[in-house]
Formats: sequence, structure tokens, C-alpha cells
Amino acid sequence: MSCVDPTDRDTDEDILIREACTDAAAFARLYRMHYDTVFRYCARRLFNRHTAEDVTSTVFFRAMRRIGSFKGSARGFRNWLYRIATNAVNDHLRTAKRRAEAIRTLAREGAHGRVGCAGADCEFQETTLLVKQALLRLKPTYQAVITLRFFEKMKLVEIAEILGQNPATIRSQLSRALNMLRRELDAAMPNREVSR
Amino acid sequence: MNDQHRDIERVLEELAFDDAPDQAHQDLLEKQLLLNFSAVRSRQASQWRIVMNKNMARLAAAAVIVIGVFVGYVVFTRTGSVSWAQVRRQVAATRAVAYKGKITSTGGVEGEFRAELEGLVAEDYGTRMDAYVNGQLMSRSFALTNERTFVTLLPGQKKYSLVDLTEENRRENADPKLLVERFLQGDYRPLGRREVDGLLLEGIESNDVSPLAAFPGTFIEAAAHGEGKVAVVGRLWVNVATGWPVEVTLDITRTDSHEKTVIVVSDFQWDAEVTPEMFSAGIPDGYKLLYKVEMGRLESGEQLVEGLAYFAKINGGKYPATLSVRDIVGEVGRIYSEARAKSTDGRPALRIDDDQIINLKMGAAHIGKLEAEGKECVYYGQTVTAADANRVLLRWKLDEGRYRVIFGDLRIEDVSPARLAELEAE
Repeated sequence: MSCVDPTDRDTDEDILIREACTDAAAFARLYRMHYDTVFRYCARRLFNRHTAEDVTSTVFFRAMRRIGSFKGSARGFRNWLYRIATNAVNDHLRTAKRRAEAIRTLAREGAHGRVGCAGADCEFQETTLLVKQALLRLKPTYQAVITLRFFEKMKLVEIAEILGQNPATIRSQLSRALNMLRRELDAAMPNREVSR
Repeated sequence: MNDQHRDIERVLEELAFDDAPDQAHQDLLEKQLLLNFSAVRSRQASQWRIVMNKNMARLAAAAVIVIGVFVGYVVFTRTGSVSWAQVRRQVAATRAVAYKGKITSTGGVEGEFRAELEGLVAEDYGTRMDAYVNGQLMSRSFALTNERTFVTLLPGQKKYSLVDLTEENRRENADPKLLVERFLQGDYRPLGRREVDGLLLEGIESNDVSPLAAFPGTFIEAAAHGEGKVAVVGRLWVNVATGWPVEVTLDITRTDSHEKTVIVVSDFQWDAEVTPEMFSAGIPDGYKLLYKVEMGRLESGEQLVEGLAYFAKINGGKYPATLSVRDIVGEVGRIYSEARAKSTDGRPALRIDDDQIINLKMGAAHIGKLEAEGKECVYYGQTVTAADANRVLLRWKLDEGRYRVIFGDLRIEDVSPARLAELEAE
């Protein structure tokens, strides 16, 4: 699919994508169709809704700038947005300063959340916090693979399509990412069973 | 995956998220997208490009990159290799280092650009960097440990510039441990060994290091490059016999053009002797201020407001039509030409205040940076004038979810999303 390349097998969304190259209303419709997906993905990578909203804005502005170069089907469009979102989040997390700030913010919010909790609930919250912090400490590309696989519930072949890699590479990246995560968790929770 | 990771997969599958979309944000973003649709689809280049084209900005950016990457490379770890751990320990223990650098930039609109650098980094004092073009000292910059200002002297023009550092920048620059922490996540590849001038060197290569992390002056970099617009491949070579770094090379490629910059840093003198006089950043007599960037005023919008007030004063109460730096320069040129045309003796009736125009350009460039970061900037300069006291002239989103608004009378207020919607509906 491209802005000048209609085919006779176009779906409604295919047509919409073509129209969105030049028509603001069509772009707005596409935006409404995909906002939730993009926002949730950003929130599951950044663990902060304000930051996720900011990055979501970046994603749709980038999509608006580049939609003329999109070639593919409606399903491909969703993956194309995932790719833009992955790059936008990775850009955001690329500086260690921002990663450190995200980890600090998460810790502050976690401390608020633990006020008043007790026993197993408190322990669960603390584990959740440590896992999220460990994810933020990973290289963004590793964090992306984990998020797409476990939080977005995607198959390796879909992740490969989004990240422009082959499935075998993704499989090995995922394995490496999980090893890195295990190392981070072991360092954060040396006396717990969570990553054993 | 497999049984090896089953336990960790279970932990991940149990995670909960605060990821319910907010309808108010969705509506606001949609409105912003619609407002910007025509402009964004037709825009070819961002205003950062204009700043980048200026030799000084490019040079300053490259200078900052050299220090940032250099410091980053020599301290990063997680290698598992005894020799690299030793490199890290040695470097971390040094109090001062001197070095030289060469920069070659190609593919830009100005053709090839070359400069040479001499740098000095001392834990007790801060950093000093001299930049030479064709053998002439073009600039001398200081970021001092005990100061909050990044000072650049331009001997050829007898001018100087000042850029505020935040307390965070200042502390980071003075704390090597924080720098180490920033680079712990880096991955690299071994490059093997090579012999140069009888020295056996061993190297590593990485494209995973932010060239500017933790170094003051990043505002200059942001203005020059635009965040996320460069890809960096760096190589570090150390002397196998001594464990001291002897050369760092950086290949910096803009991802949105053919522009490429190669930086080679060498001639290191580890534990160089330094004196306080080497870091004397006093402004010589006769030097004039070229520009001053106060981050607090820039980020609050006050610097932009000052520039907008001046622009409206010389333009019959109208603000610039856009906040593109290129457009602003064009509009100021038009105002000046019209004033000159009205003059009867051939001399312009209007003298442009360069300081105020710099305020306006700096403020506008900062808004461009916020826009690139997705901060939902919307500017209504085409319809709102100084007479429209209570109409929204400009707004952008703050980190905590509220919006900063500059009104037609140039007062600045922070408002909630709901209040913003009301104001913009008016």
C-alpha cells in the first residue's frame, strides 16, 4: 500500500491509509483506531503514563510525517506503528540519564503504593517494582523484544516483522534478553526465588 | 522460549500495568495532529537544521561530543576482561588528562569542515577546550566544576557566549561514579590488535554509547543535532603494555542526511599536571556578549516572551507567523527592509536589537526541541496579536500533565487540560 498505489483488493483500512496521506480527517480516523494500541505499548515499556503519553504523541507525529512512505497492508500498518513506537521509546530510553530518571520515578511511585499494604500483597508489589526497574535497566532493544513477546503477546514471526529481523535472530535476542533480565533480577533480589 | 526461562516468563506474565488510555489526552493529541497536519506533511526540514549549518554551532557540538564520548569510553565496563577492567581502574584514578583531537565533517551544505581540538579535563577544576580552524584559535570553552555556566570565548570576533548549567549537570560533571553508571549498559565488540609506531594496541568497537551522556553543554548539542538524529560508531584503542587509552575514533552519521563527522582523539597525557590558571574562564576586556542561554528562563518560556515582546514592538503588535527560526529570520529581514524603504535619507529608521532577536531565536529553537519531543506545542501566531490579551498564543505540555500557556499579552500560566480546552475553544 502506498499513497499512489491502490489495488482492487483494498480493505476499508487500506483505503483509509491511502486517504490519510492527504486527508487530515482520514488520518484522524486511523489515529483513533490505533491510539490505544500505541499508548498501551508505550506504557508497558516506560511504566509511566505521562511519559507514555509524550512518546505516543511523538509516534503519531512521526507517523503523520512518514505515512506517504508506508507500503503494505492494514495489518502491516499496525506493525509499522509498532516499529515507529519501538524506535521512539528506544530513542527516549537511549540516554542513561532518562533511564535512571525512569527508574527513580518508578521507585518513588512504588514507595507511595506500598504505604498501607501488608504481607504477601506488599511483597508482590515490591517484586513488581523490581522487575520493572530491571527491565528499564536493560538495553532498550532487549527490553523491546521482551515487551513485544510477553506483554503484547506476539509471536516471534510478528516481532521479527516489526523489528526488521528474521525470527531466528529474534529468538536468540529474546534468549539473551531474558538472561540479562535474570542477571539484573539476581542482583536486585539476591535472596529471593523469583528468578530461580 | 524453553524450560530454562520458564520461571522468569511466569514473573513477566504476572506483571500489571497502569496502561488504560486517557480520553482527554487522546482528544487533545487528535486536535493537535489535525492542527498540524498540513504543516507537518509539507515540512521538509526542521529548524535545527538551520542552527546546524552554522560553523560555530557545529564546532561546539563536535567539541562537546568529543568530551562526552571520550569520558564515556574510558570509564565503561562490564567486560569480564581483566585488561579492560584495569583500563577502567587506571582511568578512574587519574585526576587530569590532556588530549588532542581532529574533526572532519563532510556531506553538509557547507562542504568539508575541519577543525582541531586541544582538551584538558581535570577533576578539581572542570574542562577546557580550545578549537582551531586553519591553525587559528577559533574558540576556547570552559565548563568549570565550581561554576554553573558553560563559557565560550571567540577571540576572532572578541565575543563570548554563556550557557547555564543545571545543578544536575554540574554535579554529574563532577562525579565520575555517575558517569560510570551511565555507561554500564554498553555493549561492544572486540577489534583485536594492531601495531602503530611500534606500540601494540588492542581495541573495541561500540555503537551503543550516547555521545553526550552526562556532560554539560548538551543544550548546544540538542540545538545542533536534534535528539536522536545521529548514529555513532566508536572505537577505543589502548596500549597493551601499559593499559592506557591511546586513541578514540568516532564515526558520527546523521540519520536524516549524508552528513558525516569523523573525530579522532589521541595524544593523551594521563595525569597531566594542571594549574588553576589553566582554567581561568574570565572574559577578556573588550569582549562583547554574543548570547546568553539561561536554562531556567529558556525552559520557563521567559526568554521567548522577551523576544516576542520585542518582535511585536517592531511589527505593529503582530507576533511572528511561525516559530521556525528560518521564518523568524525572514520576517525580521522584511521588517528591516520596509523600515529602510520608508527612510528619506537612505538610513534605516529602525535599528534591530540583535540581543532581542537572539532571545527570540533561542526561545523558538527551544520550542522546536519540545515539539520534536512530542510536547504538544501549538502556536497561534498567525491569528493572535498583542491586542488579544486572553487568547492562547502558544502552549506546550509539561511533564506532570499540565500545560504551559503564553497568552496574547505574553503572561505565562500553567493550566489543566480541561482549562486549556476551554481557553482554546474561546
